[in-house]
Order: sequence, then structure tokens, then C-alpha cells
Amino acid sequence: MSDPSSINGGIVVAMTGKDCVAIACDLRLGSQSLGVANNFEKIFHYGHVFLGLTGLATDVTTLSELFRYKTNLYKLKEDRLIEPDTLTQLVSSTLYEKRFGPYFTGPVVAGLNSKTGKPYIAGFDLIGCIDEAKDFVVSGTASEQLFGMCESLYEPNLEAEDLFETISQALLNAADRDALSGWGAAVYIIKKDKVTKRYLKTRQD
Amino acid sequence: MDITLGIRLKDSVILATSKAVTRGISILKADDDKTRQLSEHSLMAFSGEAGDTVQFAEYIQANIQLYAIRENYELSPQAVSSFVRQELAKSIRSRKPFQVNVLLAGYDTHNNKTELHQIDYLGTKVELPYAAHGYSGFYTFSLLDRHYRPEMTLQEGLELLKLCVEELDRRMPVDFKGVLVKVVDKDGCRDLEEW
Amino acid sequence: MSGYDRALSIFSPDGHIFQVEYALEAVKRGTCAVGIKGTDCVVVGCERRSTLKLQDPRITPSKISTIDSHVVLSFAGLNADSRILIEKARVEAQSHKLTLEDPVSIDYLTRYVAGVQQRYTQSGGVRPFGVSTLIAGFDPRDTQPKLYQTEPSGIYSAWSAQAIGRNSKTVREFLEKNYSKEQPPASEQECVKLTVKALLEVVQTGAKNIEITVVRPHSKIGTLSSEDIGKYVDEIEQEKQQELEKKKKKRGEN
Repeated sequence: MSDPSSINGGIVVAMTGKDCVAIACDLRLGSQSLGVANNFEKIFHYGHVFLGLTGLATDVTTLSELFRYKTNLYKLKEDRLIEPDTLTQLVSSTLYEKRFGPYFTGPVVAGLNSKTGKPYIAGFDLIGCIDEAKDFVVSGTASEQLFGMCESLYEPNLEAEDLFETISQALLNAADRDALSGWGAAVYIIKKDKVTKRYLKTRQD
Repeated sequence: MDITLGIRLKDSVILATSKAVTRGISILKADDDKTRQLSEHSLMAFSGEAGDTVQFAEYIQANIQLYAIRENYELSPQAVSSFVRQELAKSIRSRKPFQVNVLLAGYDTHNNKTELHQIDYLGTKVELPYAAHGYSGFYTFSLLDRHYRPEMTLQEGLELLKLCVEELDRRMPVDFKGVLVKVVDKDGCRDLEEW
Repeated sequence: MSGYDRALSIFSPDGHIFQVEYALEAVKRGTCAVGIKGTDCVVVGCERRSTLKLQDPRITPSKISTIDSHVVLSFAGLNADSRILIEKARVEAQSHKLTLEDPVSIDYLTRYVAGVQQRYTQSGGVRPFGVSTLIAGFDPRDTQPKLYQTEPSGIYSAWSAQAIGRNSKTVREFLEKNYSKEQPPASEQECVKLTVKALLEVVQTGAKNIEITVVRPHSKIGTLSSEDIGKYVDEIEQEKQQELEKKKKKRGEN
């Protein structure tokens, strides 16, 4: 009921494909059962690395701004953009810093390594435990549903177009079985030299 | 039980707040003003815990005005909303958090754009075409969903507001003594005595 | 070196605190500022250092600062020191409004600024502010013009018209001759004109080196543009010319 990570609702999912990764989120922000906004995006990017944040909306905003701050400083100090695996460590240590008063979020990192071009995805729990996966990562109030969808739809080495179809169907059908998720969706397909963002038409209930 | 309503229109934003102050089973005041002007073009309506609301609102007001005088520059509504959110987000993890929900109406003089931000006591911030805090949303959102258009004039907006207030009058369990209506547009903030 | 000016909180045997007196010296070298009360306004004017050829005049800070919507502060002395005083005054004005629900009175703000200046004459490791200020405005819900002065020592005083900074003696003498407490300038225009005239006693370069701000009741603060000031300067110059010609004629008749 008053579990902080399910007050606002929302989901994020990421998948790897052949030389590409995809990350998608729903657009709902609610207050318990009441829908408040249908334009609340949960995916942010820092250079070529993408970060999805589900959970308590205030912490989603706070963390997205905190990582903007930290990655900007990283860029100034290192004179290069942050890589997916580095951001993963940064997210982990940032969350663990608040071990005994945590941010109530479930972050997801997705991107391609700019040197090797290798797809990279990772998920976290609210205190920063890293879950590095090679297939897919799910997060949010419909994470169980997402696991089910991904488990049955996912196959390795999909081309970008097929990956888009797979992740979209996984997200849409998971959201439809969750009262706290949905109200629109955004999907990012990340290739070596091109990122495409698409908004999905979804059920509005 | 306080009512705070906001409607963003084509070239103005309406804020409506209930005039009653209620403590337990009594109504203590029937002409309360639950808004504070933060700068020439931004106005904040608030509801929540009795002592916290005005304290928080005036703290924000003082800081925004101090900024304006120091820098000789008025913050954009976006910037103001970011500041308010950050204060509430800091507060929620402090020893005694402010229990205050706010609506921020503003007119962006650089982009000639109207803005309405909803921020709750946790620091959850969203930009919306129409917004409410507390129970009033449950009664009015269906009306707003049905009748709202982004291109509405002030006159049309006030008619829509009237529908909402009539519904609230009909269904709210206690008398909220009507609403105080204020408007923000390119000329600043003003009271609407008769609307 | 007498040795009594090394540490601040030390008196000399004859009761002086030299550092404070040196601060007054810095004030005397600062550009001139003038404040004049009218019947329903206060005008503050000051001499502005001329901008260098390659300097950007837009970002050179003004010597007259708004503290709150109903009060302004001008100063003579060290520009850098004044910024600290202005910042402290602004924060105090907001803080006062937040805790007491009422904007600061001009009297209160003056006592606050003077209080800050006094503290810096009596504690270790600091030096006094090399700044005198003129604080002008109207109390909230009042139409009585107010004008105060503060000094590095922490002294404060109320005035009908006052000048501080370089050549302030000349200007003060001019004001004593041309200002009547019984009949202060009746209109805003007259008040501005007197201020400009007073400043022209010591500012040779005319309108482009003068800054004027008018404070009216109910938080109406207005800053005059260079052109507006130019009009006053021309008018005054013309009058002076006519005066001169009259004198010449008289001499001719004799």
C-alpha cells in the first residue's frame, strides 16, 4: 500500500540484440490508483549511455539530475564520455552510499561500448547490487509480467527492427496486466551510429 | 480537504484555491488565501499540513525574491519549479519534512508560454495541462478530461472552472466556502474577484 | 609607524582607532554619492567612474543597488567591500519579511548595516568596511521619505540631503545653500534637478558619468536613463549660461 517503490508505478525494460541494444519505458505517473501524468519519461541519456529509472518518482527525478551532474564532471575530468560499464559502477556506488536510507528506484543501464561496439545492459536493486545480464533486464511495478514476456519472446542476436518489435510487445503486454503501468510508452533502439526513439500507441486505461 | 486547482490555457493560467480553513470539525476562516506570488510571473498555490504550508511558501517566496533582487533577473517558471522541487526533495529525507503540496502557475516571458507544474510533498514534479491536489482531483478530473482544450481562452477556462467548482460544491462533504481565483498571464498575476 | 594601527581592536593612547580612520580615508577617495529628500520622493544620485575604451559598460555594476522593492542603497568607498554589505542587507531584508511578515523599515535596515560595519571594528582578524552608505526609501505603508547615512565606524545618521565621498564637502556646501528643510523640492523633477545640479559641482564629464535613481512611495523605484539625465544637464547648463549673460549685461550697463 504505502510501499514507496509502488506509489507512482512504472516500468523499464532493456534488451540486447545483434550490435544493438533497446531500452523502453512506460509514460504513466500515478498516485496510488489515480493517474496523474501520461508524459513522465523514465529513460535518460548521458552521452551515448542510457539509464532507465523506475520506482518513486521524486527519486527518479533526483537521481536523473544527480547522474547528469556526475557524468558532466566525469566528462570534464576524463575528457571523454562515460561508457556503459563505468556508469554501471557509478550507479552502484551512488546507490550504496545511501545503504541505510535508500533511493527507492530500480535503475537499468543500456548502451553500446563506444570502443568495442559491444552491447551492454545491467540492472540494479535499490541499494546498488548489480545484475549484469546478456539477454534482458526488467524493472518496475510490472517486473514479474516483464520477466514472463521477455522469457517467452526474447531470442538472441535479433536485428534492430526485430528487437524493436520484441521489446515493444514485451513492454505493452506486461503493462496491460499491471494497473500501475502503461498510459503510453517510449522505445529507444540504440545502434552504433544511430539512436531511434519511438512513442508507442497504447491502451489508455 | 483543501482544494487547489490549476488550469493552463492558451495565454493564461488559472489557479483556484478553497477559501475555508478547517481544523477538525470547525471552519475557522472563510476568506483564506492559499497562494503566494513568487515573482512577477509566477504564482504558487499550496495545501497540506497546517503550520508547514505558509512557512514553506513564504520561505520559497523569500528566496525567489532574493534571487530576483541579487541578479536583477526574474527566474523562469521552469527554474522556479525546479527550485521548489529540490527543496521538497531535500525536505522529505530530513528529520521533519514539510508536508506541503503545491501547484505552480507561471508565464514564461522569454518563450511566451504558459506553464503549470504540480509538485507534491515528496518532490514529485510534473508539467500538466490541468492539475489538482488532494481529493478535489477525484471530483474534477473527469470534467477536465472531457471539456479541456489546450487552445482555450480565459473566458472558456473560467466556464470550465465553474463546472468543476459546482461539482465540488455538490459532492464535497464539507463546505469549502467557495474558491479564490487568480490568473497568471503576460501582464503578471491578478485576482479575479468576480468570475 | 606609531604601532597602534597594527591590530584593529587597539586604541591609541588618545582614543583613536586608526584603522577606522583609514577606512574613512578610503571613503573620501571613493566616487561621490548624493541623496536628497523631496516632499514625496527621495532621489539618489552618484558619480560613476567613466568606463574605459574597451570596457563593457553593460556589465559594470551600478553604484545604486536595490535592497528590497522599497529601499535603495548607494555608497562611496571601496566597491568590493560594498558588495558584501549589499548582500548582507538584501538577505536581512528578505529574512525580516519572512519572519516578521513586514518588509524592513528604512530605519531598521540602516541600523542593521551600521551594526555590521561596527562589528568589523571590534573583532580580530578583520578590517573595517571602506564604505559609507546612503540608504533611501519609504517605510512600508508610509509616504514619508527617508534618508540615512552610515559610516565605517558604525555611526548612522538621518539627513534631508547629504553627500558622501570625493569632494563631498563641496557638494554639502552647495546643498546647504540650495536646499531648504522648510521647503524641500516640491516635485520629483525639481528634486532630480537639484541632485543633478549638486553632482555637476564635482562631476565634470556630465550626464554619461551620472547615475540617478528615484524612490517613490509604495515600492516604486525608477532609474533614469542616460538620455533623461542628459536633458537635466542641458537644462542646467542653459540656465548657467543665461545667468552668466545677465551678469555680463549688468557689468556692461555699469
